[in-house]
Amino acid sequence: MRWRDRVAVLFFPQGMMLTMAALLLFFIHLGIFASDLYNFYITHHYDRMSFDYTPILMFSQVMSVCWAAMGSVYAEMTEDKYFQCSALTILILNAVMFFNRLSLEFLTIQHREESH
Amino acid sequence: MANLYEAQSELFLGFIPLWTVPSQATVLEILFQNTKGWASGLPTSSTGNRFQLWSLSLSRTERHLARRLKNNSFYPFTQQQPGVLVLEYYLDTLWKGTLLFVVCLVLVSLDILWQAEKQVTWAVSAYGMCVGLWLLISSLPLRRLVLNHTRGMYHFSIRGRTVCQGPMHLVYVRLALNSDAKGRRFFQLVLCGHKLEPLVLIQLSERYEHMEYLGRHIARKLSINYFDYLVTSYRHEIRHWPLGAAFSPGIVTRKDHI
Repeated sequence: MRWRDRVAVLFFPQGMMLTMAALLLFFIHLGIFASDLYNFYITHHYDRMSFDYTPILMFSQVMSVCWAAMGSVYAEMTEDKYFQCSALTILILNAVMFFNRLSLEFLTIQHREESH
Repeated sequence: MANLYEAQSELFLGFIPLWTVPSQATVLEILFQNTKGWASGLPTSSTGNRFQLWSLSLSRTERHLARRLKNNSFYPFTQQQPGVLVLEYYLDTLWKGTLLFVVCLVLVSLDILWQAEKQVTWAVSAYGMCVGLWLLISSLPLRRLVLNHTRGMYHFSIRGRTVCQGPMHLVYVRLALNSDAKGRRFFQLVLCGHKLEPLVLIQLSERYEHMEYLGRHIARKLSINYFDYLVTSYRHEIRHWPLGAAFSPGIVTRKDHI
């Protein structure tokens, strides 16, 4: 398969693209989560945590979970074990990230700007 | 000759009936016609037809389709040569993605929805921009679907790159059922197939008989399979069987992978 064929397949919005988008979002959320943990436990700069972005992050995480679910539905239709496993793994990672973020919000609720 | 051929293709869609043995001159003429068709085949289709599936007539969609069928009996395809039907189209996510992108760009650039109660919310419009841009880019290449009845194959390509090629029984017209909360049933007429993007010919309509008539008519004109909205039904019209069932079309066992 030449690279032009790959480009044509990439332009064809099948399930794989949804899974890839969910994976990309997962890495972004992971980075934000790591920086939050760093600021909370190590530097104690609570004002640098991502409290201002809570609705956006919630929205984005729900979107990425939905996209990963769609991608795994598409992957279930192709009878390829590798695709199915990777799509399901990405779905589970996204869901775990959502609940991690939620628990972090409740854990740090004393340090929010609104509480002071 | 052309008229006679037209008449034959009206009846048999390009299959020469077995009882009419064509003379050598006729065969030559047909071959010549074919080569001429192949040579001039690519640029002939008009650009207006590429957007014909976007037409949103919100009321009486089946009447709209009937009018289209009166103008072009192979709607939505165009007949390039007898037995070879070509459909070139852009997906309707092109205008939807463009609209989403433009609206979100306006929202971002005019600082609408920037902040609400100290919570930053501009990322919603940024999301919309990204999704709209992706929809726009992914539906920008021209799609081309060819039903070649002389070879019994269909061929689907995006910007000249082959996506899928297969036997004719994998392409079909079908009714799809949607129902709302009150139990009213709406039908859609969809052209789909293996590895094809489903193309909606009629949006939601409640008149089952009209839809079924139009669906059967289109399937007969295109000479492809027609399926009812039920899985098992007496109203299916099967014209092409899978290869294994060619000799006993009545008692084919169900195959899950097809």
